[in-house]
Amino acid sequence: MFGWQGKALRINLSNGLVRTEVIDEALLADYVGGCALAKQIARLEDISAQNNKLILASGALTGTAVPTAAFCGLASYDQIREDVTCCSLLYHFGPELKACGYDVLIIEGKASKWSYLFITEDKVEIVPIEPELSPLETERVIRGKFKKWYSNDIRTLCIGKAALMRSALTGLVTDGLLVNRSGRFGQIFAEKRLKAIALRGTEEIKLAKPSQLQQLVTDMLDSFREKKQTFFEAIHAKFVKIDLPLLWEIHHHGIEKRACFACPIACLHTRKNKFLPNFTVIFCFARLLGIDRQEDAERLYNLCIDLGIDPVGLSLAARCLLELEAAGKIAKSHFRLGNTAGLMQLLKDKKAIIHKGNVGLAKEYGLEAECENLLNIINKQWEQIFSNIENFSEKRQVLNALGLCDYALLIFPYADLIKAFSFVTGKELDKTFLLAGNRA
Amino acid sequence: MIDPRHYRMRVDTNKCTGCRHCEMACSMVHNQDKVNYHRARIRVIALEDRFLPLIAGPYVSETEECASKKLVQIGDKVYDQCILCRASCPNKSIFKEPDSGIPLKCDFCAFREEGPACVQVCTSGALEIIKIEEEVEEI
Ligand code: SF4
Ligand code: SF4
Ligand code: SF4
Repeated sequence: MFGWQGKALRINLSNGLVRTEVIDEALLADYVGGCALAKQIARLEDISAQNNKLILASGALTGTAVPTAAFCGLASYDQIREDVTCCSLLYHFGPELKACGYDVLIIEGKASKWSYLFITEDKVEIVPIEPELSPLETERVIRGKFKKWYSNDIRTLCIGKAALMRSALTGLVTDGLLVNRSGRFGQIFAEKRLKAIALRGTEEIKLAKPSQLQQLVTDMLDSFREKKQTFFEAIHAKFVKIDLPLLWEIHHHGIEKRACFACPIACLHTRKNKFLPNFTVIFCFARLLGIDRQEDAERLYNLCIDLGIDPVGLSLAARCLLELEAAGKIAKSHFRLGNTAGLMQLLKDKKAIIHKGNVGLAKEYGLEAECENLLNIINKQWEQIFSNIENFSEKRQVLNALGLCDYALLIFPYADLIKAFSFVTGKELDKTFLLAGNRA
Repeated sequence: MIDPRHYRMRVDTNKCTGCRHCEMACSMVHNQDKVNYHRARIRVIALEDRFLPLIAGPYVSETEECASKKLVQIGDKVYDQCILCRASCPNKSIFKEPDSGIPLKCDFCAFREEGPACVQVCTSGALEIIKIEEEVEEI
């Protein structure tokens, strides 16, 4: 098999049983990877609030050197929405899952004590760990067990203390980077007493048409190099149009550029090795919460990293709180628009109703329509960046299944990304899949 | 084609984004039909505040002068990589094939018309091939 590894790893945290399973080739051909595959496997597994399984599925191209092929889907059952839900993991976790020799990871059961999973190409360990650790401390503890040369290639996905507060905002942190919209997934980690997943693999990915792929990747990167300046100027112009001064304040103060695996764009930023909020988070903080000062936004984001809180979910929930207060449905809290300290105080209080999350609050207080509206504002803003891309929503679903970033659409011809799929896997993408996007 | 005796790789850690494309490219051109960054002769090491792409210097005979030295820029200063990491040493093998244990040494992609694959894919400008004439700060 080319591109895919063709294997799933099933781990039962209750009894420690580990099994490698062959993935049906027809399933891979039909659902390809990422969220489409993760959600379909979740359905086949009869995922429910009771069995509470977590399904991770790499994109078909993830880890193959195709530009931006870094992504991985994570699906679980959302008890509030009563449906399967999926978020996309960025940075370097997906490629490492492939390097461990798997496309899919299925985690079931519940550990008897707080633990993390350490997975390599030939072993799986369930290792006890302190639940109180912050995500960054967790990463340090896991890496600290090995020599630098070895630990350099360990990739992690962790939760923080928010999980112990049973917060619906509990998000995931991968190698120090908060995963947007991962709220609730962290809660499922917590229900399983799963503090983290750490991966380190040395397996290769076989390529169907290596020389064509090499040529295509080189051409894509050459053209990126040529168009780089215009590309960044065009992006800049789009952001200027959105009128978000906070974005420039945050991203132009002594920062380092960071990239997901195989990504030449490098839209991520760090300062002193700590990640800074990205576009979506800055948009949410500024537009939903009225936080428009650089220090405030960064303080709040750092607290999110420390506690392991999904910053997008937090923004939605905080805005819902304000709406509820305005409607007189709940008592007034310390938090007002633009009041970062009040919001941080709320977050640290485990009894605060903000921890019910936006979906929980909306359901309890009948605020579903407003909540949906807020989500639409964020999604529309994102879509606006891609307004010149025809059929953007369908194309982004296909890219998700391939494990590629939305930004790839702004710089690389869509046809090249599809071509990469056939050079890597030796197969053609099904026409109906291309049209319908994510079948899930 | 590049003769490693007359060229050095200049590594600007200020520009490295940690994307690991260089590792993938190196592994691809040396392994033909598969990718695996554990088979690369360049490895991107995460330091406290930056990424350091390390290249495993090619072997040289005892009588030959070390041809593998890289120049590494950290902040405003350019250093000789030998002070930073043994991986660049032409007499030691630090990077090894994960299964066979065969040492992996940079060959400057001498078999490629286009030159080093890692430089070709590094769009951030962190890797650059330069002629060895520049002044280097030796420690
Ligand atoms: S553009 Fe940004 S989010 Fe997308 S792959 Fe690159 S670094 Fe990651
Ligand atoms: S390709 Fe360039 S920017 Fe990316 S990790 Fe290698 S040296 Fe750094
Ligand atoms: S010059 Fe060639 S062999 Fe050396 S590290 Fe770069 S890609 Fe690998």
